[in-house]
Parts: sequence; structure tokens; C-alpha cells
Amino acid sequence: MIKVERRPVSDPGIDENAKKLTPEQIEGVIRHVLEKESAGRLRTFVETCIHCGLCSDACHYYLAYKRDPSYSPVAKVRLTLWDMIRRKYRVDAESIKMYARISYAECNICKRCSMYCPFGIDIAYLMTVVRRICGLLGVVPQYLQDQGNSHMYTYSQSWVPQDDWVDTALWLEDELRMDIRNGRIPFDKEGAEVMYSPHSLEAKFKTNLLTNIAKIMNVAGVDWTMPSFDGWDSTNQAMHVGDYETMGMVERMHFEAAMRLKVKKIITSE
Amino acid sequence: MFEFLTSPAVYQFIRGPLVWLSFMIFIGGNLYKFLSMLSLAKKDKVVFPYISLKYSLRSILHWIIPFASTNWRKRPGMTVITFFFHTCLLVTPVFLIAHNALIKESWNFRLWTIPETIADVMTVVVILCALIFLMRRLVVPEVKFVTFGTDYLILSLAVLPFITGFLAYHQLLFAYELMGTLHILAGELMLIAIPFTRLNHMVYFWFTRAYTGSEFGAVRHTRDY
Amino acid sequence: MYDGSRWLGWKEPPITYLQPTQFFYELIRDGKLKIARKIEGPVTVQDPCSIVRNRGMGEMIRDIVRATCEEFREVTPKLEHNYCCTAGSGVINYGPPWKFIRMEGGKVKMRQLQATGAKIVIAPCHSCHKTIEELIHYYHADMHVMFISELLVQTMDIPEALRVHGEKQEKQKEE
Ligand code: HEM
Ligand code: SF4
Ligand code: SF4
Repeated sequence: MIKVERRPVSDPGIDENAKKLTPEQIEGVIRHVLEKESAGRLRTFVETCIHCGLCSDACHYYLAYKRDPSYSPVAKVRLTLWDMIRRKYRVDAESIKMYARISYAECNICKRCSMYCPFGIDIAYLMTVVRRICGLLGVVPQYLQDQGNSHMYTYSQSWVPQDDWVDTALWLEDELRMDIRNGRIPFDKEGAEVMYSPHSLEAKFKTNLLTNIAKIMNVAGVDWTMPSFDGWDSTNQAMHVGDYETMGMVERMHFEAAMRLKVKKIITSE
Repeated sequence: MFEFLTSPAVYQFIRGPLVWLSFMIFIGGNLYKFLSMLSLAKKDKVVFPYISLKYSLRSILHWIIPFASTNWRKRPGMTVITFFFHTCLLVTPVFLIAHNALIKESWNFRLWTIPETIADVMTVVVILCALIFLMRRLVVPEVKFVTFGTDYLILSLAVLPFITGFLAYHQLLFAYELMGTLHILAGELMLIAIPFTRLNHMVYFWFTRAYTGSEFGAVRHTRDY
Repeated sequence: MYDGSRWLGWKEPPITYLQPTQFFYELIRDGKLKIARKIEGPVTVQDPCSIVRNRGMGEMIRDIVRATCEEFREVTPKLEHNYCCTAGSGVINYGPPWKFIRMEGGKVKMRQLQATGAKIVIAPCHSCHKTIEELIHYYHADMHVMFISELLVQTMDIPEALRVHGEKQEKQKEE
């Protein structure tokens, strides 16, 4: 394993969970993800990269860390996927911690590097593959995993259960009427033109944003609605965890809510 | 070693059957790689439904024309070097008079050829550009960080035919016969290596670009250049 | 979002799925929202990866900003070549242990925004919004961040019939 200079970070989601890993588990998960779940893109991207470093300047981390080569996009692949493949998937828990740090924290999956690589290699995709491995192994930044768990328990990102959601929207409607005469936040209006799906924080800390949306909808005379039932939250942190099963569930609930309301389109939050 | 290479049997083998064999491996290997990539890409499910001819071509064109993409413009030095390197690398062997004489001997047709002095200059260009690539690998930190032994290997495989060809043409280092044999051997090694090393970017390039071009153009409504 | 639909086997989302930027853009374009006043002072934008590099809506953000602000300052690099805010793909949510990575990695973003000399940054994404606000604090910059919806609420024309104080006035008249 190649050592890179990094400031130590203590995150129980990564440190504590990595302690519980067994070598068989690690090898099994890597094999599953690299050989069963991924196919053409993974192999083609890994086999095509000519190690030319032309993607480096694309990454804001590389630029911000004074052109430290270990932050360049291709270096992130070198430190994770190439490392696993070269060592035939037999890597230790320390390596998994490093993979987790690189794929979760040192890449924003922003795809800027794809626009700078002469081959158009999608390093962001490769990083999501690494996240998938870490996610299945449970080595995930604690706060992020917490939101993944929240999606599983409350079907919203930040532990806002459905009854809280309805309650919040109702008092927001009261507030709305202080600014807009007869302003409405219409729930469950079947056949409406638009379903608005808020960010779950709009039902928690940033409720003024939902009020703003309601004002715009009322002023512009939009035929809109929101579901009072689960599926109202437009966010999906499970995707970032690499927990695609939960991601799929969240996604399906979201679209099913729209289908149930028979709306023409969904508008998400900013 | 040299005696071995100049012995008639080996000489005959390198200049006869091995040429055919390496061409067959080159073509067969690339075909195999290509087909297995297609079937694996099919398994990926999210590749083929999104491929768009228009955006694939747009993306490929912007990257095979010098300075047509943002990154080519941002790194003019590297762009000039890589385009000189690849153009000379592809053009020289195909349109060389000596190679075409051999083609004529075998199949009785010949392609358009380039004058020998120009071919000579182009060979030197390939060698110089390869030297610069080598220097980059040794000096530039972000390239050094991702360099492995195989990078030096593929770089050598790519330039060795040019170095040996140059030496043979100018009758330097070893006797013409021996140098010629070494040149042919180097060419054969390169052909055989292309499908099985990262030199197969020659084939994959078009497909990775097509994928990324379509993804950016048709799905994301943005440009990838 | 695309990843979710694809995981479920849909090529495209089964229902038209609009980012609010496009929705707001259409409201203004179609005259459903009238802009009554403009925000003063130099304004610049952040191009969130999710809607610009991944949805190509950079020009829509700019059109909205031009319609609602007096002075728009372009950033370099812009549109799909713009830098990520360093909070994308969930990094915004990693909590205190990882805040430093956004603050240090965001140096590039901050320098770029400061170079425009703008006092307001329009960031139509929750993650960008929050992290740029934190970056401004961290680098002691003199700016603040706004959503497009905030921009619209401050500048749109509220028809008389919907105005609450209009109602009060009417009542007063009746008395
Ligand atoms: C027509 C097909 C080809 C295309 C589109 C292509 C494209 C590229 C590109 C985009 C790069 C990366 C940029 C750079 O480092 O300069 C590259 C590098 C390279 N190519 Fe090609 N190439 C082709 C054919 C070949 C062939 C046939 C060879 C040799 C047998 C070759 C040998 C190399 C080498 C050795 C490098 C690496 C340079 C380094 O070490 O940094 N290429 N090619
Ligand atoms: S996708 Fe990741 S590696 Fe590529 S430029 Fe963005 S943050 Fe850097
Ligand atoms: S630019 Fe592309 S080919 Fe070159 S090192 Fe980066 S990912 Fe690999």
C-alpha cells in the first residue's frame, strides 16, 4: 500500500466499522462489485487510461492542495481501484479506510475530469464504484450513513417522519397567509400540473425556503400540489453512500407518489 | 544472441511466418478485445441505450483535432507533442517506401508513399516525442505518481521499431542485416502487444469517447470538450 | 437523480422531472411571474454540477439573474467548466470531522468568486449554497449567498389581489 500525506481524521463510521472487517469479507465484496456488478465501463476505463496525468488540472482538490499529485483524478483511481486490482482484492482494513477517504471525501463525483481526459474516462463513475465497495462493507462517514439510515426509517433524509412533514407544511401555510392573501399549500391534489418535492431540510431548518416556493407558486398561479404521504422528500443520500438498494427504494417511492397524484411533472427543490 | 538472430532459420522465421502471425494476433486480438468490450458494455445496461451517433462524433472530432478541446488549448506543448507523435507514428510505417515495396511483393499493390527523407524526419520526431514522454514520466509529479513499469514498457514497445528502423536505414550500430531483423522483431512485438496492453487505447479511444460524448451531449445537454 | 432512475431500469425518469431552475426560467419567460424590481449591486453565480454539468442549465441561471439583478458578473471558468463547490455528492453532509476538506478544497471556488468582485452569489443548490456560505465565513469574504427562489420572492410583482396589506387598505376604505 502506498502511503500518502493526509491529515488524520477521526470518523467513527470509518474507523470503528473498519475494525470489524474480516479479510474474507473484504475480498468477497470487492470481487462481487468489480466482477459481478461492474462490467464494460470499469474494465474499459481501467485498461484505457494511459497514465498521462492530463486530467490533473480539472480537479479542484488538486488545485487547492497546491498541485499535490495524490489529489489528481487519476491518482484517486491509482490509490483505490488499481491498488485493489494489483493486489488481487486481498487488501487490509487500513486500505479500505484509505479508499473510503478518497472516494467519499476527496472526490465530489463532479465529472469535471471527464471533460479534460483525452479519452473521456469517467473517473467520477470509478469513484462511485469504490464508494459502492466501501458502502457494502459499511465503512462510510458516520453522518452520511446516518442520513442513509434516515431514508430507511423515515423515508426522508433528515429524520422528518411523515406526520411532522404534514404538520410543518400546515403551519407554513398559516405563515404564508401573512404575506399572500388566501395563500395555499395544497396537499394531495390529484391531477395537478406540478408536484413540488422539497428538500427534507425545507421541512426542518430551512422552512423559509418552502414558504418562498409557496409564494412563487401562488403568485404565478401554478396548479401545484405536494404529497402528504411518504415520498415527498426529493433527496437521496443513499445514492452517495453507495447503498443502491435503498437508493432504488427512495427513488421508487418518489415517483410513485407522483403517479398516485397523477401530476404532469415533478419539480424538485433547488 | 546475435549469432542466434543471424542464423538462417531464425532469420527466415522472423521475416516470414512471424510477420503473418503477429498481424494475425494484432487483428484477432483487437477483434477479441473489441467484442468482449461490447458484450461487457451490454452487461453494464446503461451504455448502449444512451449512445448517440451525433454526440459521439462531436466528441471524437473535438479530441482528434489539435486545440479543438479546452484541455488541448490549455496545454499547447503537450498537444503539439502528442499530435506529432501519433501522426508520425501512424503515418510513417504505413506509407514508407520500403514497407510498400514489401506489400507490392506480397499482394501486388501499393499505397501512396512518402519520400524517404521525410519519413526519416518523421521517425526522428517519434523518437524525440517519446523521449519527452519519458522525461514527463520521470519529472512531472502528477505523471510520476501514476507511472508503473508497464508505462515504460509500452512506451518502449511503441518507439523501438522506430529506433531500430532509423539505425538500420542509416546502417548504424550493427550490420544492416542484423539491425533489419531487430527492426522487424520490434515491429512484430509492437503489433502483438497492442491488443494486450494499454496500447489498445488505439481501439478503445473511439468507444470511451463515444460513451462520454453521448452521456454529456444527449443526456446531460453539455459539452465534454 | 439519473442514477436512481437507471438503477430502477428506466432510461429516463417516468414523469417529466424538472429542476426548479428550468421551472423558474419558464415562469419568467412565459410572463407568469413579473419582475417588479431588481437586486442592486454586483451579482455572480455558482454553476451547481447537478444542474449545469449534469443538466446543461447554466444559461437559464444567467437569464434569471439578468432578469432580476442590476449587475451580473460572469465567473471564469464558467458553465460546465466551472469548479464544483467541494460539497457535491454528499460531502456537505459528512459533519464536523470533514468540514476542513470542504474549506480547504473550496479555496479554488472562493478565489474564483472573489475575483468577480460580486457581493451576492446565486447558488441554486442546497449543497452549494450551504458550503459557499461557510466558505465566505472561513475566508472572511464580503459576500452572501442566495437561492433563485429567494431572488424571485424579493423581486417579483405580487398582484394587488394577493397582497395582504392591500386587503387591509380595502377594509380601511370600507370603514
Ligand atoms: C489512432 C489511434 C490512437 C489514438 C486516438 C491515440 C490517442 C492517444 C491519446 C489521447 C494519448 C494520451 C495523451 C498523451 O499522453 O499524449 C495517447 C498516448 C499514447 N499513445 Fe496513443 N493513440 C492512438 C494510437 C497509438 C498507437 C498505435 C500507439 C503505439 C503503438 C500509441 C502509443 C501511445 C503511447 C506510448 C502513449 C503514451 C504517452 C505517455 O507515455 O505519456 N498510440 N494516445
Ligand atoms: S469528479 Fe472527483 S476527481 Fe474528478 S474533478 Fe471532480 S472531484 Fe476531482
Ligand atoms: S487524462 Fe485520462 S488517460 Fe490520462 S491519466 Fe487522466 S484518466 Fe488516465
